[in-house]
Amino acid sequence: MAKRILKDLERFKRIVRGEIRKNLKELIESGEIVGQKGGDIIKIPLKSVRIPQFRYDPRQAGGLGAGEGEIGDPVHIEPSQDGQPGQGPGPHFREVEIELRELAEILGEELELPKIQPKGQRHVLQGDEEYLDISTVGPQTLLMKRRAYQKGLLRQLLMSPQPLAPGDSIVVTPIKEDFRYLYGQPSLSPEASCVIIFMRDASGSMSGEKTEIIRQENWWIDLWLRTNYQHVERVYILHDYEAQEVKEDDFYHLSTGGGTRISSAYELCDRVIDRRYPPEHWNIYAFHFSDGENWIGDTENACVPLLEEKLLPKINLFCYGQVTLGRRSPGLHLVKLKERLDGHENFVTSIISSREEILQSIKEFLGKGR
Amino acid sequence: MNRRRVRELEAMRKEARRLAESVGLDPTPVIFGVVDYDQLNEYSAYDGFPERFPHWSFGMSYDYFRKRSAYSGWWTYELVLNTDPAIAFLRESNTPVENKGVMIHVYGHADFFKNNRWFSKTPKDMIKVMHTHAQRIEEYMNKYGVERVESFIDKALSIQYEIDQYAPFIKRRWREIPKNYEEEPPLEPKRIPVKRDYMDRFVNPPAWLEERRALLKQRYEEQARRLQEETELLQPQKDLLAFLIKYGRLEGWQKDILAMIREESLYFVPQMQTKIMNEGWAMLWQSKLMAEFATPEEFVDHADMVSKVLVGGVVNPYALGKLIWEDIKERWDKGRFGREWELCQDPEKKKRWDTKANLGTEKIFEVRRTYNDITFLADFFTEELFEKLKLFAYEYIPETGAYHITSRDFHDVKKKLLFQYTNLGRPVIKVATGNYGNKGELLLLHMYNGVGLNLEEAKEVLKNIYAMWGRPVNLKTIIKRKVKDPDPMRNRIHPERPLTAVYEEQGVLLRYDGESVRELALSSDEIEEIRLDEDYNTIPREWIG
Repeated sequence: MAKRILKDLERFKRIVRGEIRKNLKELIESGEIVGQKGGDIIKIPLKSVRIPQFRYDPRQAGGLGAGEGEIGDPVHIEPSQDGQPGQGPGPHFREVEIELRELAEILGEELELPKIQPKGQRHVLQGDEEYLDISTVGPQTLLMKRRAYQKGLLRQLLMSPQPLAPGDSIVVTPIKEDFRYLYGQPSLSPEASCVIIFMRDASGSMSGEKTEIIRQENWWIDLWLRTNYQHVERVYILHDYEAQEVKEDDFYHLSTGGGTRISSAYELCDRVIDRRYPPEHWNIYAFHFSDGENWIGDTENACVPLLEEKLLPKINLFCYGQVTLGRRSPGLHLVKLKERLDGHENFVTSIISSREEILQSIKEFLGKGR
Repeated sequence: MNRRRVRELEAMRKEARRLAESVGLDPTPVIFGVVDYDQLNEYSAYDGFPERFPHWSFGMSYDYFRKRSAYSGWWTYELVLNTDPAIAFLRESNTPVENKGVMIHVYGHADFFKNNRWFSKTPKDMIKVMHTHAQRIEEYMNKYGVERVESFIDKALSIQYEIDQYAPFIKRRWREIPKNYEEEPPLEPKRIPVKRDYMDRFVNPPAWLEERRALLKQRYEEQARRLQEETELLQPQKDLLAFLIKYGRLEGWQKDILAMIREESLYFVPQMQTKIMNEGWAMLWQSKLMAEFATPEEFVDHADMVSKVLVGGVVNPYALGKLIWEDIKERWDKGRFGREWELCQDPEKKKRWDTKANLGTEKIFEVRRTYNDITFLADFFTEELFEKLKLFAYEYIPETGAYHITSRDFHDVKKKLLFQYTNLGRPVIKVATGNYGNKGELLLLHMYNGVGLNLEEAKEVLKNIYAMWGRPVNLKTIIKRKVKDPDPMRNRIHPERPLTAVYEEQGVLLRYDGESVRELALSSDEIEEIRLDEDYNTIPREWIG
């Protein structure tokens, strides 16, 4: 019989999954999850999973602390999971913790994202064990009982003083020497390495809410890709008239005053790939966000040839997102790209005019399963 | 586990018991189980029990414990059941010194369970009770469907602590819950069986049947009237669970589930009521006896283990309890009690006070027999102790969006401390009547003490109660409404002395009628009825306005 607790756990997970799925859009829009730093665990506030009870308003209840400090000083209170003392056995929850992997699965199921087909060729040792061999030592769980019985039977037959007649009964007691265990060997499998190149227009017009939308969207894209590949690297490229590679934090915070020449970013992206991420070893994803404005003539004269001849043949997917608040009409950059590159399988565009459209945009980008 | 290991542990256990008894502890026998970390997480999720009724909330706890042990190396230090014999668990990967520490700690608890009066009414075979509950609820799930039973349990757990914590000690009019939950008395009289149909009207003559019917009807009406009278409580009382079991419009199995949940909650109550004392008691003896029990090499490891348990300082019940016990022992050893001590005003004299009374040990054993956390804190959380601990009270100031230190006054801090442990740290909800407005509606009273309810949550609870009561549910409570905003500039200039808005207490009747929650104003008489003569809020007066 399955352990009781596993049934309870199963039931709980089903409820959580259902709730997250139901609230996924709001979760993405509110951006509550994206703010969390580090770790494999994400905290999600889910009201409905909590059993409501008559409790004090924690904001009115106040509390006790110890240590220095003048009256009036603000104190930092760690909202503990365990709640007020004496509220009853068991932990008390304000939010549900979920592993990133689970969250990615839910995202995938909800958006009906197809499984990604990696194209990596490099072979590395991977931990997935297949039990292809047999060993004389091992953990109890991998004990081969039938084999132990057979060995024991054989041994006892060989050692018995007189041959047994058919119909004689024999009690087989396997001893340590009879035990055989399944033995797993790390198997060879193609490593799935992936590099994500995030590009963003950093000119003055791309500030505030637009950047926030990009941050939200990138987080979810990153989540999906990193659960599909074993090894993920990220490159961040900011551009205005010129492009430069930056750190993740700067990527969302820097903004410049200059004009916009998108081809500078595509050029740098191409150089980065050539220098560090040879396409035969890497699955390459490039995401570019801007508000659709570009230097006159840059899109058709520089960007399109760059994409068509250099980038698209090398990479798994190139996504362009036009972030224009409150406007869904495509900008010139988008129109021209679409016009010239529509036949390419690995080229996707999307228009995001508000937070509500992040989910849809993710689906457009990742829905190709590349 | 091999036999040698068992022998070693058994020798260790005997020694632990001998040590515990040598200082006067009187624990029940304890059975130690050795479990791996996963089982430990499982039992922790079940509050120490090997099984509980099926419900996802245990899965949620399990998930939480599992993630904590996987990602932060944290584990349940000790797990002991208040049964006779007591049952406790040792983690398989414990080091010998960890096992020693846990064993002594557990014997401390076992002594407390056995000798503290608040535990005197708990069943000592709770494992069996939990097992039967699990089986019965599973049967109901098979019979009525998992979803249906589970969703009912969700609602029932919403009021699992709406009990009277003193119920086991008080004889109450509707404390006795009838064992057999018969739906309605039969209205059709039983006939005497007959072998031939034609004999029926001789054996069961119509006139006689008519007479019986009338009698049954009369009895039924009488019972209904009595029920009606009883639901009109003379005085508001706690224990909503018992009230619903008796008068809620529920099916037999539903009442049975409520009764099981009530029984389980009552079992856990003494542990919640004596958290500080009980944990402090175990820590006290653990630290004392480990000096002897641990080898010199082990002692550092033990100190490290103890420091992990006591982390967070005095707000941690383990640490606070241990401190208070040590303080009582010292005070009664030095004769620092009684009228003379109380009246002494000279701090120097008090510092040197030592009558060599040597009554400490006797006193702590006496206290452990009769006190619970509330009386313990009330009597032994002294001003001297408070000054040593540098405690402060804090409150949330909405205007700054942060918690601020509001007081370092002994009385304020003690008030706050008592507040956290009064009524299991929960608001007091009483049942006023089951026939509010003569319409069969339920009326609950929140006895207000200056700290308001979490209103949004309370509304959800009302919806759940509605499902069990079957008629509209009302709750009288008091909320704070902002009547005047503070000067916004003032907080920007002096953030260290935040100003908060002027709030006014307003009486509110929350009413859920199956469709929506409505809020109605209460009259001043009605407010008086639920406003207790207490205020646990410590925001200084000069901050308001």
